[in-house]
Amino acid sequence: MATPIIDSIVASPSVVAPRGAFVVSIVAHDPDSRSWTLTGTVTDSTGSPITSSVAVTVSDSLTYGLTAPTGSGFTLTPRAGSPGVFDCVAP
Amino acid sequence: MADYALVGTVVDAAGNAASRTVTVTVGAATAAQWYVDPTGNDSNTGTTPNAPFRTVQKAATVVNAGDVVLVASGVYTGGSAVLSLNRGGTASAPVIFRSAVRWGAVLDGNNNVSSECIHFGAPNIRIEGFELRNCWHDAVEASASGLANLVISRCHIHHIGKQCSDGSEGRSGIDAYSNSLTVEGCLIHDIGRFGPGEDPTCTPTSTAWQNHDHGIYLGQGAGVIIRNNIFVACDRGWAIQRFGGSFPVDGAIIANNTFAYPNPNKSGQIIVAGNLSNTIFANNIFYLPKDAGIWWSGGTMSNVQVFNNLSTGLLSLGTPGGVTFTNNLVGDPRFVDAVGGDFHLAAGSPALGAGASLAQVTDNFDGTARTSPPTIGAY
Repeated sequence: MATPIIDSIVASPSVVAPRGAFVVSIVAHDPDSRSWTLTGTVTDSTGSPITSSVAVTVSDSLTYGLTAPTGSGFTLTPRAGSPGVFDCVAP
Repeated sequence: MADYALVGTVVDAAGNAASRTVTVTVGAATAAQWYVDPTGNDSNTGTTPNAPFRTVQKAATVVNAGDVVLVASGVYTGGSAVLSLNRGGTASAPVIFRSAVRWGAVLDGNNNVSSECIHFGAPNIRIEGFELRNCWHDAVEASASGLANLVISRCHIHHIGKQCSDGSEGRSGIDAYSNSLTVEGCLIHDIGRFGPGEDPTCTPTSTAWQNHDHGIYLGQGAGVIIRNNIFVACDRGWAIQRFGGSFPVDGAIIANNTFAYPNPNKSGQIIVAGNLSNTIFANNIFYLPKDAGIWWSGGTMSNVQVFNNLSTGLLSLGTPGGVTFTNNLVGDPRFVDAVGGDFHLAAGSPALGAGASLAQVTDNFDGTARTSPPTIGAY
């Protein structure tokens, strides 16, 4: 299994006043992930088919983390329901 | 004002982990953040992500000490200089221009319309994460009087000076005449004019293409730091050219850089042809240079130390007085994929953990903290 790829990591804003709030967003993907399109068909008694498709992606689940230098005093909180997003407060 | 590197980590189910850093600046409450985006408008306030400026140049005309300009991904062009910087900060509160995504914001000379991608006209400015390309003279020009405390960090500098020229006027990635100039974590390649066969409309009639254009032209300065950079095939001159006649260079630190591939027409990946004092060359990798990594061509040396470098062949051409050599290695650095441009080190590399600890080099090209003892080269 290949190492995950971090596409970007952005702090917004990236300059803050002391004790100011900011958000860090990490966008990453699993290079091993694969996607398929599955197509289902239903045919009625007259022979007329109706088709519909669904996309299926198989991917590792990714766990996101964010750390600050030891003792720097940052507060870093993962945002519930938003993987890769952290609500942060500067020291 | 202080910069902090926050480390983001992503781990998959098998425990494979990747990490990258993002810099956050904690400053005085009065420091402002400005926004630039290719979809913006210079009539906007520029003070929120929803009202960005269109050009980086507009932001440069309004910044004050301690301000940060966050530039969204996209291509930005300009006039004689893509970005002319005449408003700086203070030593403790520099003005920062930051690409929101590393190499996402591009300062483009528009096929050599612009002479310079960045022109420094003021001190105390930091440039982070930009791609600089297609300017005809320099990617970064830092030769105005009174410059100091300039930082070029984590940029991608390439295709500079790509013209047909037989003249002696040199092109460079960075034209360096500033005190306290730092160049760190940059990838620098394809610097200099066309050579024979490189462009169908160009047939050089002199040999200027062999040695007049450089990655960094180190002309003058005290306290210059060149660290964690990757120089690839600077074959129109040298990766670093120390010249400048009688202008002094004092207290320079050239450390943990990776120099890859030769100039087939000239010896060395660094040429020293001017005076140097109190200067360090340490922890650098010289990969396949012609004849030697460093060519001591001229100048007077005083207290120059060369230690813990790794070269695939000779490290030094010339035996200047005033230079000491210690703990330097010869060998194959065992890059992961040099042909493919991946200069990370494979297991078993003699560079791993073979460097000397330097207070001025605490992380690497990727922004990852260095271990102790550190590894030789940019990673």
